[in-house]
Amino acid sequence: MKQDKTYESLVKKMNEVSALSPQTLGPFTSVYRVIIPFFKRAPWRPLMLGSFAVTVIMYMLLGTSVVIVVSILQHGF
Amino acid sequence: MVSKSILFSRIAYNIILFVRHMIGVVQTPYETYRRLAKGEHLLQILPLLLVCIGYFGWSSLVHHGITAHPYLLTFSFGKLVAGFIVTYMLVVVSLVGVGRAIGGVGGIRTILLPWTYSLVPTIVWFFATSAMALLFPPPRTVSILGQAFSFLFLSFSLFLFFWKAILYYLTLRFGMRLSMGKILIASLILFPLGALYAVALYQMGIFRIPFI
Repeated sequence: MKQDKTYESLVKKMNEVSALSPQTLGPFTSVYRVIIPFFKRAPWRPLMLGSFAVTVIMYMLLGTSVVIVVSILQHGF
Repeated sequence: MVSKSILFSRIAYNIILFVRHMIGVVQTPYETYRRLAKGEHLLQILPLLLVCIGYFGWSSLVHHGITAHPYLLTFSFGKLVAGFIVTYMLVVVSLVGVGRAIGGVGGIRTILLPWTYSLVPTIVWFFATSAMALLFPPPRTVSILGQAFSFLFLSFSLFLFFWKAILYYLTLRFGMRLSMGKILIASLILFPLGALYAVALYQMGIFRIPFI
């Protein structure tokens, strides 16, 4: 009998996806489901925005002392 | 005995997998980590581990200079590699141990690939920071250029840190099949232990920031 490759790959994909139960976060589940698709493909885009925003916040909180943090980090390698 | 052609095709296959997964870790980490957590084709971690070892050679040169005594360079390199190997094994065992203790399903095999690929942001940060330390040696000043560099460096570091956090989450999510709540519990156990270990590494003069 000829095997249906499309069917087989579909079953394989479904097994892969259903191996884990969907993530739930209690009252935050709906928020989680809105946010998480942005991280499933090319997460570097939201991450770039997020890191930029956090850096601005750090500048607002620490002011020019941020250069001290960076100097310490630069010695960290 | 494995013939040469089979060995060659196996190596080529693992290299292709490595390249595909490297792209996947950047572009589609969820899908990629699902595949990695199956624990198949473990040989693909070798190129990544070789890059890590290459970094330790580079780091020894940056720290001590190219004119330093070979004994000093070898000692520094050996110390970093030993520290890395012990840390790597400890982290993998801890992830599996804590994951299982809180009801996770999985083992060394399902954690090994996801965790190894999560070293990508770590390697990028360490390589970039060491290169920047050569080009723009610290300390930074509060001049406009110093602040601009600080802004960029901090953004870059945070970007890699968040990326690492996602890969850590996916390692436990797919490698140990944990829910978000259980991942938080695992982190509450693992992070303090990791912090203590980082202090120990610092005091032993191996890593200032742990290579995790």
